[in-house]
Amino acid sequence: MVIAQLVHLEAPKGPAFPFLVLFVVIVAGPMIIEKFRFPGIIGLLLGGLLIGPHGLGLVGGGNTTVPDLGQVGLLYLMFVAGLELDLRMVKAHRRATAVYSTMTFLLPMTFGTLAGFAVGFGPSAALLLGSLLASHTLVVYPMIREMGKGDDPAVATGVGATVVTDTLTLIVLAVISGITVGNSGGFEIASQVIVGLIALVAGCFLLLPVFARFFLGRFGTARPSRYVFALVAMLAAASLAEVFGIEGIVGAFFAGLALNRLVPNEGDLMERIEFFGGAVFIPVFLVSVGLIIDPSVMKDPETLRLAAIFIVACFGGKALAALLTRPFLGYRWPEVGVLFSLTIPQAAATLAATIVGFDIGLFSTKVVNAVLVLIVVSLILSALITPVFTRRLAVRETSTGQLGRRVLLVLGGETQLRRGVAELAQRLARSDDGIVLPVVVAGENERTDESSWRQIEAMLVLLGIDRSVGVFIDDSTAIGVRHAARSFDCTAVVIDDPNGAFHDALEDAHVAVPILFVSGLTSGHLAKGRVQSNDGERDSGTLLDLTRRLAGSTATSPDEDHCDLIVQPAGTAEPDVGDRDVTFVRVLSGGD
Amino acid sequence: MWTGTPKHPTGGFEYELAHALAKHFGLAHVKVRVIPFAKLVQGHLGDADLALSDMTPTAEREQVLDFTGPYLAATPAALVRAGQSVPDLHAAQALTWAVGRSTTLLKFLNDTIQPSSSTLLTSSQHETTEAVERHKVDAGLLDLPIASAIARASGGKLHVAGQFELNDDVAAALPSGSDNVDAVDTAIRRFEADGTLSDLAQRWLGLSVNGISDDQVPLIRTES
Repeated sequence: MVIAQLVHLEAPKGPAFPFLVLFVVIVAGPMIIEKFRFPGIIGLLLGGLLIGPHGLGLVGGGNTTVPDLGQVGLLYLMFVAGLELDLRMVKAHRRATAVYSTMTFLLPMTFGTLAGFAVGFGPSAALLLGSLLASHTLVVYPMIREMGKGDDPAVATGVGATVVTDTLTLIVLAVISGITVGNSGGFEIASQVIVGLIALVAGCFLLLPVFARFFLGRFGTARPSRYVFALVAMLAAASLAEVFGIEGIVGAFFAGLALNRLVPNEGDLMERIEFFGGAVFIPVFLVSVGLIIDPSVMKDPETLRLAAIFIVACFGGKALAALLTRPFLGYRWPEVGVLFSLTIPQAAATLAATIVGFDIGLFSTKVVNAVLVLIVVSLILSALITPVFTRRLAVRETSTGQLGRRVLLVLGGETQLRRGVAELAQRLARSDDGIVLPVVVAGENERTDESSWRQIEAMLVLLGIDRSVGVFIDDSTAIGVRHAARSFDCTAVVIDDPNGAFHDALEDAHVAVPILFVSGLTSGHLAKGRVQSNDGERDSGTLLDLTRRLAGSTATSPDEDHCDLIVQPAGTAEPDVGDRDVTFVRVLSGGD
Repeated sequence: MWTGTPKHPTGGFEYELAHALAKHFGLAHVKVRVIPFAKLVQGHLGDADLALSDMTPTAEREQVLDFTGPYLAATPAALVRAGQSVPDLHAAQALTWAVGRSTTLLKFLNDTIQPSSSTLLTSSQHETTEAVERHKVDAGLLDLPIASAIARASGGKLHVAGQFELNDDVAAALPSGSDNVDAVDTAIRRFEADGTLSDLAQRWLGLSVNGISDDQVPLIRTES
């Protein structure tokens, strides 16, 4: 009482309080719900409901800050989805992906559209419903990857299908949204959407990578700039889409796909993008969705009836598509189960399309709530059945080992890294979908040129190696390389060794992993010609394996006169190749 | 807002909005019912399915009515005679005001503007306007879309001197428990997306749908 008389207290008016409440939910929501073994996403949705106008009203219906930030979070979510997709895996299983994508899009799309007509939707709303039920989000993929089955063909097929279904969903969304919102005729809208998609594809897949290479090459050493560049790319693509009346999420997704190769999943930039996405943007989006949940509508029998119909249409279509992989792709039951569990989770694209459908007046609040019920059920079901099927997947024999999983790229303290050596390390890493870890190794008395490391980082970024350069100062370079290899848990070491100094220092060393000493390469650029294994009498399996990996898509050759890259054992002399620009890789096999 | 007579309405923002809704739902006719605002906010809609009457949803009103999402932003605005200005809150406090007695504007006037002289309470927008025109008060407090439309129709006698900072959106009201709320709410969102609302606001109120008029009504700050 005394304090109240002395101090004038009033309710907070500024943005601080809504943000406080928002971030408390972001921290506490998932923590609490995960105690009950539910996915954290449900905690965010329920948290949004709790603080929203249909709950405690802490974030009122008139608040536009949180929903606006949520919209940015939605763009971010789609951007990250595009960035995270493993395009190599999609490419490797393209036939199965094409077959399965067709089925897992068309079947739920058909069922969903029919369901829409059955509950009284018009054609636009019914088609949009069909397309959003056909999409899926790779919510359980990290779980499968952690169980060591990320490279299973069925999993790769499911991942690839995500690209196709989500892109098709967003294209359907763009067309439906254009027709609904525009005042023009169907042909004009279709033309505008087609022109818009062409502009978007050109902008994202032709111009954006060029801008990105220019920017990252010039300013790539400044990490905040790299992150902000990614945000700018996302927002620019979203804005470009909106110029043509296409939803911004389509642009954000395309921007993610376009930058996919320049932002590797294991890189520093991706780590930052995922950090801010996971900590702020995406949770804010999910909480903002929770704000529109109206429990009074959700418990409404009509909402539950709609939800039941949507669940049957979605799960039925996805299940039938997975079942059809048995006759069409020869998949076994566990693979069918994994495909089903991988493709039923409805989150990002479903939610995005639903919210847009709501905003443009195609879907009512009841439909949004019914879709939210579907999302919750799909997330819970997929989280429960994924481990069951994944455990039953066959253990695949890896005849090639994991040489490229973690490749240490070593350069001396004063060495300017040659681009070709970095490309070679990247080629080796890509053979196992691995990563390259650049490190400077110097002896205690050697000089190190710190400014050149930053330039090296910028060059590596352009090659898709997005890692800070580590520094190892040790008693000697030889000891430093061995310690670095052990510290980074490497599977192979690539050393830029133009004058053979590292080779001579380490030639007789006992090492746990293969070390590749790269010399020759006078132009600095790795040629794409033939690769030869010059193994003499030893016929080392490691050497042949490395030769095959370094050849990549190019051919191996028995004739050294026509080779651009020669792989040979450590301790052997470089063959005389005259004036030709040949790359020599001398290999000290691990375990020797 | 509508023009003409109840039997022969000739146009107006909300009348045309009602027509657009009727067309959207495949209905043939729009019937105009004139119900005092004070009765509307108590939930008395007569046989009407829908009230489009510049009504702001409040917790009190939501107990007797169901509301859709907002269809128009409506900040409080000062309608004054030509030549009169309201540059700041201090000047506003020195004026005599007229305001509708059952409106949310009355609370805003008392709590935020806090005029130094007594306020004239009116039963309709027409009465408020008339009080200003006849020099009974210095200013009338109305929703910006209404004030703007009245000023445009006055032939230069009246003008909107300023708008206050308050998010006071107006929404369609339906009888409590109506089955039509979800459908009307969805249709209004559609009209917002496809430009119907902004076209109507521009045509009948001289406003964009977010309440900013062509001639950019000045903002009167209420916080120091």
